[in-house]
Amino acid sequence: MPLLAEVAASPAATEAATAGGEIPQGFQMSADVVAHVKDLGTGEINLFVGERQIQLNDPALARAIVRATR
Amino acid sequence: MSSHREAPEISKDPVADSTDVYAFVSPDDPGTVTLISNYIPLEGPAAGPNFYEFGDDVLYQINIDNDGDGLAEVTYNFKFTTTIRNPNTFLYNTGPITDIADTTWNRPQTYSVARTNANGHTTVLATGLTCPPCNIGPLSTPNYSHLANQAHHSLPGGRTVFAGQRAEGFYVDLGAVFDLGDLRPFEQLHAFGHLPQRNGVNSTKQVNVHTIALKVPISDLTAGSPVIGVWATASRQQVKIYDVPSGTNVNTVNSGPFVQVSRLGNPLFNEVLVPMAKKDYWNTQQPKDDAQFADGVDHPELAGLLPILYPAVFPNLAAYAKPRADLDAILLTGIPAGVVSPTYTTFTGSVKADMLRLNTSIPPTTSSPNVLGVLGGDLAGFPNGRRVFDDVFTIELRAIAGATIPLVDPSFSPDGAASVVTDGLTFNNYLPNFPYLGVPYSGYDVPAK
Repeated sequence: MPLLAEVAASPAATEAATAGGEIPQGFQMSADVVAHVKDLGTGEINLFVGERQIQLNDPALARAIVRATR
Repeated sequence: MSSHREAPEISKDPVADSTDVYAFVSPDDPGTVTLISNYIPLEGPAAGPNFYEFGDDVLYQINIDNDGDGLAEVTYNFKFTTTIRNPNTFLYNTGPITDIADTTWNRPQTYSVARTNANGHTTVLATGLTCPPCNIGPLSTPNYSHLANQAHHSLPGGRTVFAGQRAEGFYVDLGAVFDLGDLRPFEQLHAFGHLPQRNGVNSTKQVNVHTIALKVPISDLTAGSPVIGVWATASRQQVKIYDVPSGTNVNTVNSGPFVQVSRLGNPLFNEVLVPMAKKDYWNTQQPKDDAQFADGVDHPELAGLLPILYPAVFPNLAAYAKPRADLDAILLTGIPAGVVSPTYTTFTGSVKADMLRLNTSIPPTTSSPNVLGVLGGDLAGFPNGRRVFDDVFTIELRAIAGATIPLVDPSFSPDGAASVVTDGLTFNNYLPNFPYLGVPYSGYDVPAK
């Protein structure tokens, strides 16, 4: 289960983050973020932060995360 | 056991494992209900250097359904925080603990209590409430009752709470029962071996548990009907990461929503009536969805095994093929009025939900209560709620053996054995007042099991 921060520098991840809105310079995370790539085909990724769960469907980001683990 | 280590996954997570739930009109304060939820099964009293404590990463809850839908209209939430006063010693205590604020207790635990109502609104009732330490021994905790009494905390609204170690109150001859259903009264008749009849052995003798006890006004729980359904849960966040920075302690990161990993309403429900492959799944479910487990109640596996294990002892039970409407009523819907007596009822409606049902309008039995509860003619006992001393194992064993079928099917005659089957145990380490469970055993007196 890779930490999202570990792949944050990948081009695909940067694209996805950009699509969700810019992260301001110096932004501090309030809690660690955990990503669970559940289905590479559909790009289903579950993000866990604090007591929340956010589901993404982003095949490119899912591939980027898996690529980073190989 | 009642619900100790009753499912494969939760048996590996004792801090979140709910072992027993009790709900009863307080015998010494009959305008109130006492709710007790125990966790951490089979605590050996000699547990140093790391004595037992609640999990800081576990959400403990006591849930109350007051309209029969199998969902909680009232939930009490408990979260714990552990601190280390001196990180440079291996000791749990660095001197006698004579007051729960003593700095000699090196690992104090505090907790918060919050109440969630039917609208989902949560009110924090208190924070920073202190638990007592574990009962270590006469040098470390010389007056344990004093420490425990200091940990009785008053909450707004006439409520009282306690959280900490207590003596195990549940008793069962577990070693015999799970040895191919050996029931001591009949063990000379067992199909797999004619053992000499011996007295029962209490498998939970002299072990401790961790207790959350809450005494609240009856009006805090009811809404119209005097009957409530009670169950306890424990939940963990979905993700846990063991982060091990170089040269420092292990840092754990918990993330995500809390998911339920343990549940308990009626004693022995998950233990005996749910098949092994579904036990951990059952722990994640809400009572409102318990119709999916109703087949295990209507056709209990144990009722089929008893006539096989004890040939010719349960012939009437062996011949009974109808769904067990008696167990369905006792465990899943409550018992309608007119079945036990004209006025006795724990019925909550048609929703099949495993909840410990308590009719709060039935007064407590203060003189010579019967440990067999309703089965023994004492309407203030299990399955009308559950008192700390109720012999729930014998009650449920007799029910499964057919003793309660005539309540719903007068054509059935129970086998003689159904009214005498028992694990042959009694137990009496209880208190007459809150929190009712006895002083925990100390490691000085009791070797680790």
